[in-house]
Amino acid sequence: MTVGMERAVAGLERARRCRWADVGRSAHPEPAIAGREAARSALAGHDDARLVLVFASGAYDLFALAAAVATVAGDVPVAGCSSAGEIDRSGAGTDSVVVLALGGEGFSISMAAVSASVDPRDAGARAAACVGDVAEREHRVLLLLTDGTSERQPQVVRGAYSVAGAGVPLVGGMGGLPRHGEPPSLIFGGEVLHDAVVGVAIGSDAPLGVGVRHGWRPVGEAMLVTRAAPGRVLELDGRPAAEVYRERLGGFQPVEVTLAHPLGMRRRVGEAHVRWVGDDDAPDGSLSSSVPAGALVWLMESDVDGVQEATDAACREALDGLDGEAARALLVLDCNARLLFLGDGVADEVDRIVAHAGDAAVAGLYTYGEIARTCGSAGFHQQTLVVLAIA
Amino acid sequence: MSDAAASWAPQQLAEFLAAVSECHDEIHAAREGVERAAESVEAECAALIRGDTVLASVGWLRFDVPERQLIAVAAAREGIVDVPGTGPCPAVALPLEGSSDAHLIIARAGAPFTPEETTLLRGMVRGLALAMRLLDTIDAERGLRARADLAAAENVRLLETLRKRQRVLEAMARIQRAISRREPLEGVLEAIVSAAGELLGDDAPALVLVDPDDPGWLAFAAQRGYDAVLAEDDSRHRVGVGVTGRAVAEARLIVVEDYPSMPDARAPWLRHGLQAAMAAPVHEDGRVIGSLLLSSFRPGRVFSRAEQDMLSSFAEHASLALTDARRVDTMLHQALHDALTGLPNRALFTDRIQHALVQGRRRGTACGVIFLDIDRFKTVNDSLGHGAGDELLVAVARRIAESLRSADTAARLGGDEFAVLLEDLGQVDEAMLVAERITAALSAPIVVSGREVYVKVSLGIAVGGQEASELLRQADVAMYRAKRDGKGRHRVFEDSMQAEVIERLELEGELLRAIERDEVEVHYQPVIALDGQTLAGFEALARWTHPTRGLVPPPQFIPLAEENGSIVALGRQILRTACRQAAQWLAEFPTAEPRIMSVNLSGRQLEDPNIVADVAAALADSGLPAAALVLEITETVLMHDTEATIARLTALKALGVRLAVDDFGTGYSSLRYLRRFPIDILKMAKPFVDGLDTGDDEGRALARAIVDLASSLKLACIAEGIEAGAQADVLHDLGCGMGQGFHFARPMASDAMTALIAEPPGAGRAFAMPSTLIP
Repeated sequence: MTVGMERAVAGLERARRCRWADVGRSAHPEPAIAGREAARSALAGHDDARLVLVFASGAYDLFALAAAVATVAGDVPVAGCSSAGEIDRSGAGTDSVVVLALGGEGFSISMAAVSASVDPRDAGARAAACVGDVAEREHRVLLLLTDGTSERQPQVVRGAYSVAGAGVPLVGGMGGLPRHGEPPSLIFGGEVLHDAVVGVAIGSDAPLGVGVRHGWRPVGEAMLVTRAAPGRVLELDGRPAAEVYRERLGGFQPVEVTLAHPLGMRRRVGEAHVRWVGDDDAPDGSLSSSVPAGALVWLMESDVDGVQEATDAACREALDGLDGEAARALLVLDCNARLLFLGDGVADEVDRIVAHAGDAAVAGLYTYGEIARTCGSAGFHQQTLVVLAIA
Repeated sequence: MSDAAASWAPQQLAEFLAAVSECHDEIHAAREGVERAAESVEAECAALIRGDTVLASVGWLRFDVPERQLIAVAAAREGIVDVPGTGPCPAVALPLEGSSDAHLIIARAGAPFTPEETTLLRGMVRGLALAMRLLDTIDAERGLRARADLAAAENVRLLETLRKRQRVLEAMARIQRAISRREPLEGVLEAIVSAAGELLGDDAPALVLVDPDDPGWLAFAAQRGYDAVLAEDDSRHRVGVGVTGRAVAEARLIVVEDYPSMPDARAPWLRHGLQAAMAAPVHEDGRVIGSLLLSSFRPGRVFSRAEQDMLSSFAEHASLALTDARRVDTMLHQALHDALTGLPNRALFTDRIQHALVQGRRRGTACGVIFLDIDRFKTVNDSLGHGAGDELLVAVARRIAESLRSADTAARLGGDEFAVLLEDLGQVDEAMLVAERITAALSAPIVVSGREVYVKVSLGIAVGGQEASELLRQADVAMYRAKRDGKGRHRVFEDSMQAEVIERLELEGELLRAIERDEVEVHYQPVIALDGQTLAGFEALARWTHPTRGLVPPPQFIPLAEENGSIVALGRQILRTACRQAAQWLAEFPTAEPRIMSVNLSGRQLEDPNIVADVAAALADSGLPAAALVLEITETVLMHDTEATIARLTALKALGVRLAVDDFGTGYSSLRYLRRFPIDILKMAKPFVDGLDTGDDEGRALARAIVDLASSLKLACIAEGIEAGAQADVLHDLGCGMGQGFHFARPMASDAMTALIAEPPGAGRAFAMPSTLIP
């Protein structure tokens, strides 16, 4: 047995004994009180917290809320973002704040926040540099919280991947849009940031598992994106994109229908990468969707059962990554489009996640785009559920 | 593959070139190239290295790039590198043309790269090399400017270089898009030639391709800037000679900067003042099929390294366009032709008939279709294997094609069915002549898997008709009739045949309904122990009484049920009824050992994976001892001799039932299968019994041989079709244990049989109770 292995096993033993994860939630209308309540509840009885993650409805004044959480957290690093909905064991809801605190032995945490307004790829790379600080731990993951347009997210992921490399899984998401007309916000310490990337490197002696699933299935022949612009698909198979899309759906369809028919980008293995589609009846016959030219795409479809089965599969995949260790926490990054698609079924979704979690803490949010890279180099998703299991 | 899927690689390449062309320095181009190449093939890791320096990489932590492994992979063009999080993975290295020591290395966990992915990566590397060389030139110019504070004219030149680089990559991206959109090949090739000319200066570009009819020669496919007379008069070049010929023969870029002193310089070109030329090979699916030529009539023309790269890059694009066009052709061909024989398939054939019908109407001639089916093809397939079956089909296709007139079309419609379209027929006799020619051509044996196989074909001919589908159907009906009249014949379609087919279809429908409603009855014929003339058992036989047609003879409906597969359901019904009946008789009229109940098992039933479970269920449900059930199988079934047949028969034997070979002696009686299969009983066919009471010595000898064979193999023997007491006596004398036939009793319904069993011994019947049983 090598020296390194001995150390890791000892660390794992320590981690098994001492580490913990707790969740606090508050729906108090006052942002400062809500932040304080949720943070206190998550940190109650602990003096060795390592990380505090905050997911708060944008109905709150996030400046006040973030400051309150940071005050309670003291020296413990705080990161988070606004959400379109919040998740804990009690269910999914809006207008609340969920705080996840991780603590005990065997964790290393390093964080960075970088402006992404000029060069998103560079911002991703610089936010990922904090991975180097946790390199001594056997298991690592980089949590990326972002905002901004969806077409720049693959650039952020590409930059992060260029630094983190294939050995470190990436997870994360874009903050949810809290109120109409207002941009999502990122929380870093007691600050609120916009147009930025927050990177949280988690190093751990115990395993970390990532599950990524959506449950949409391809239908019909593949189509080639022959022309695209940022955020728009102009042509499919050399014809106006909306014309081809409508042909497949039998005419112009409202958002409730297009929500159920995203585009899926072909992957060599596993599920296609899904992209949300908006048919906004644009005069140039284009569709609102972030797919680059050259991609081979399918029209996707699913039903509530399919999407719910994906929930189970994502949880299982994340837990399988723990190599038999018990989960301490499940961090859930779920797409707002799935929330809209499932409607009342969302309670069932959270029940399923809680069932898989067993005794583990459950915390998460509804996002406007998800990040998960476990193979290949691409890792931006939409209408997808990402689960990070922490042992 | 869908059209979109097939256009994926060219489109990816177009986007790659567009992205790389936007980079303003070598470092960014290298990084963009590496990341995009990795993304396009979903690889985890990629690196661009020059010598032992890593210019850009992705997938490894910055200080963790496995440089030694990368250098080793670059040297060997492939190898293994460590992928973080996965471990050692296969990697490929693609050299950047023009920079002998630069390589793009890609490593991916999981499946190796497909040929399509490798082609795409090669195109990307080519584009990346070109972009980097152009950027290098700009860098050099920048350095020069810094040193000498260049004049305004130099600045203009620098700007021009920048613009040119942008134009080159844009032109290439445009060409890729044209390929991916499947614009006509001719136009794409023209675009490549003109872009090459435009970007390489005032020289004359041309694309020459190997002449498919005369592969030793090259011909102009597209050109620009050549003297019309020269292009016309000297457009053909020999492979291996001259600049273009050598580029093809040697599969590499050929550069000649002093054409007049080249030993194999061509006189017409010298007269037109050709000064220098270079040609880059053009490939199709990896094979060199031509070259992209750039001729210069300017004295002192020197081709820079960047220009040589650019020509190679354009040649690569032409290769992609040609490969793609060939793939479309191939896809189209595959969609319309039978993959095995290469003959047109049903879709194309139907289209050809329709076309011929229209032509015929215009010319006042008829057209005909011959429908052809190989008799007993299944036997060949089953006994010699599917490989041999395929060989046979290919040979038959060839012989059919050879017997046709040049205007006729042969097609494979599926399985062992072929068809021939005969155009411009004067009269039906002409079609019959062709049919006879085909029959004659197929009469000689065909060697498959080292064995000579004789095939017979049944042919149906139909002439005239309005619609392709009608003509095909009529020929099919005629073929069916030919088959029914005895295999190896041909028949011309007549309207009455149609009625027969309809009648048959009706009967088939009614039979299916009858089976569904359990209306097919079971009758029983006694099997008699010949020594004491006692009742040894019964054979269960299907009897169908049609509500209007009356009793339908088994030879009419059993083959029908065999063909449409309903024999499986019918067989199951008969089996269950017979078992139940036998158990009932056993309970009512117990014997020391139970009497046997023989049930026929067809080939189709034996192919049914549920057969063993069906038999087990019939026994369990009825309570009949397994030893009382005999399953009769024909020799033909045993001929198939497949592993599955043996496995099923063995599994049936394991249930405790006994197996009999029905109609022994009429088929391919082979001692081999008697040893190979777990047989218990031989049933001597009626023809061997027929002659036994006429003093026919030969017939007697044959019957004796069968009885002796059974005896030496320790099998029981049952003679079938005994119609006279004398026959029974002879069989008894020969040592045959049992028999059945009209002499003893005809098949009868169960209540009649019950009455018969219940009759006291000596009550007028030719046999007595109780029975002697099979040993």
